[in-house]
Amino acid sequence: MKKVVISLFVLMFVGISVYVTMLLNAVRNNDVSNKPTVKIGAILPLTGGMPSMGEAGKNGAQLAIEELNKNHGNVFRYELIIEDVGTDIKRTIPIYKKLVTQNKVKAIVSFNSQVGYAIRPYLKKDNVLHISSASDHKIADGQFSFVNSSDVVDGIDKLIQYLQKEGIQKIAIASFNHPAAQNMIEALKARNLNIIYSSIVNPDERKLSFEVGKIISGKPDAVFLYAYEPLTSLYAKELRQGGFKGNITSLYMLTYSDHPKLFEGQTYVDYNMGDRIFQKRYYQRFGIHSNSSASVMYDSVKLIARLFEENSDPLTNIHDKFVNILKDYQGANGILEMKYDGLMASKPVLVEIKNGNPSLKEE
Amino acid sequence: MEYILNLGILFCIYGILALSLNMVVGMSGLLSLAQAAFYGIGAYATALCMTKLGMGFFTTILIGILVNALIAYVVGKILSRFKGDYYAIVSAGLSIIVFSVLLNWKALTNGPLGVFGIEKPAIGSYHFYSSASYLFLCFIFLIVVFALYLWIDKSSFGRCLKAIREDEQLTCVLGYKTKHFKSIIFVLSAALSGIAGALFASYIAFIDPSTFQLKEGIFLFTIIIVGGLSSAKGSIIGAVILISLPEVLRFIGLPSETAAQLQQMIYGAILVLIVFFRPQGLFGKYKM
Repeated sequence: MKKVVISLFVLMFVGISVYVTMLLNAVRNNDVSNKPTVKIGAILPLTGGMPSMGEAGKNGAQLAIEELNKNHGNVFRYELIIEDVGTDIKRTIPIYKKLVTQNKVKAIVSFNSQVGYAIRPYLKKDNVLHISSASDHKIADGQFSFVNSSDVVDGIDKLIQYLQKEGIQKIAIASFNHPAAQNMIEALKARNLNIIYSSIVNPDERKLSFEVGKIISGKPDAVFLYAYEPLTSLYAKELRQGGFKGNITSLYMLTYSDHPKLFEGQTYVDYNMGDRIFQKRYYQRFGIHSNSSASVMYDSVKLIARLFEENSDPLTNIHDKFVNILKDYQGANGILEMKYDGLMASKPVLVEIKNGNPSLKEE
Repeated sequence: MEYILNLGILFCIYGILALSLNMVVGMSGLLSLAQAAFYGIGAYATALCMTKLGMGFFTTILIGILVNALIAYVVGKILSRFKGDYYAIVSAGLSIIVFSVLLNWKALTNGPLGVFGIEKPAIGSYHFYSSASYLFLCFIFLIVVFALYLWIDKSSFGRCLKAIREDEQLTCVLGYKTKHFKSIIFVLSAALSGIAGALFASYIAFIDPSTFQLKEGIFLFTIIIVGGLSSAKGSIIGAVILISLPEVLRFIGLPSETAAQLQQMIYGAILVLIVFFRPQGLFGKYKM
């Protein structure tokens, strides 16, 4: 009897949650249109190790879809089909196959590099366009697989120029174990910088005192910080509490800090100084600040839509068509340009946190 | 159809893993959480041998099996000194060590960047590119492992393992070298996991250490708990349930804004109910 009561309670709780959310969704989804529909799939990490990035990416893509569907001049109506892959790579190919064969999507946006690598072999055969926002440009082939992210090499070059100009000799790295971070560290090491210590922690690590102690004991001139929140803020807090008075610099991570005051006056490199209005619209729509995942995903969906709106045969010679589109595309990440192998990226700029806000630094 | 075929491939790979784990946990009563480690070693053996040395898939399977067997032999010697909860803790430790090695031995494994460009298997000029052909290949391996499980289960060796599970001290008193038996089944289980790892690496074309963490070991453990300990049929059914349940939940029309979180809630609730009503699992012959 006790088992039955507990089971009923569990089922009731889940049932009510599902019903309420479905009801809310039904009220919101009242868009009816006679236009032909282009379906775009999104494979995102909404659960698992980095849901904040997946959630932001989902919001960015959703905002783009809402804006596209409000534009009555568009030829197509756009539908976003979101699938959660968590950090469970084994589900990637079945999810991809579901989106392609069941949902009939024409394009896919994704976040993780693992997803990009896993689905890349199938894209050409399935005639599906893919834009990844992973920082690993090897995912792109310039045919059906593209990367809309930052160009690490350009960004690091810009950062090195700044460090040299400021006379910074010794740096320490404070980072997390992630392919993107690994790419940056490799790029930094390749520039013959005097790296006195590399602190690389797991993404779910929260106790940083030991690592920060090691950094401070090496007396670096600057700390290169590359991690998602809350690690960004935790590192900064511990560094300052530990008495570190030098520069904290980064590649774009400081823009998305939950506590920008921690980085007041700090200079770093960012790619995302484009459409500031996007960030306002994002805040108005979702009540939270956007991050890199949101802006990149927003741009990716908008670029896919432009491809379909402006071409009768959108999925042939995609590379050249994107090059044309990018000539006048000013997105959430600024002006993008097509780099090698289908990498779309905006130019790196120096940014300084002023009054808690990132602003372009005079050079 | 393609979607179903790809799920079928996962059923087979995780069926092999569940069967191999059930040999250790169900048949022998050893709480091993190290299966993800051997799964990972098998996957990396195939990935590295194929991409760096240009070896054929089937050769790399053998290498994965041998490497796993060798590591399991050494580790098994240590593990066989423990039992119960201690066995679980030490085996979990092994899983964490292997994960750390895969993550940090960058010269060999490429660290968190992983290994990509892993080709599909080929026999002569025939390549297992299509989902149907790859499923067929995985199914053949599943049948082999399934048959091996049944053969061990019915053999005198299997009966001795079950005796160890029920009362190790008594089995020892009867003259059986229980440490020796525990070590053999651990090596065999690890070697079979290597097959699953190889199939997975070639299927997904890209591997990185994140797939082979302790949580994957716990997922495999859940498969055999739900399917039933010491049951070959239960291992397969458990894999089918745990792989397909989240996929089924994708189709129930949950609102996109909260679908992922709701799917996880429902998934968790169903697992709780299964274990609540069938603590021995669906086809379990033995309860922990």
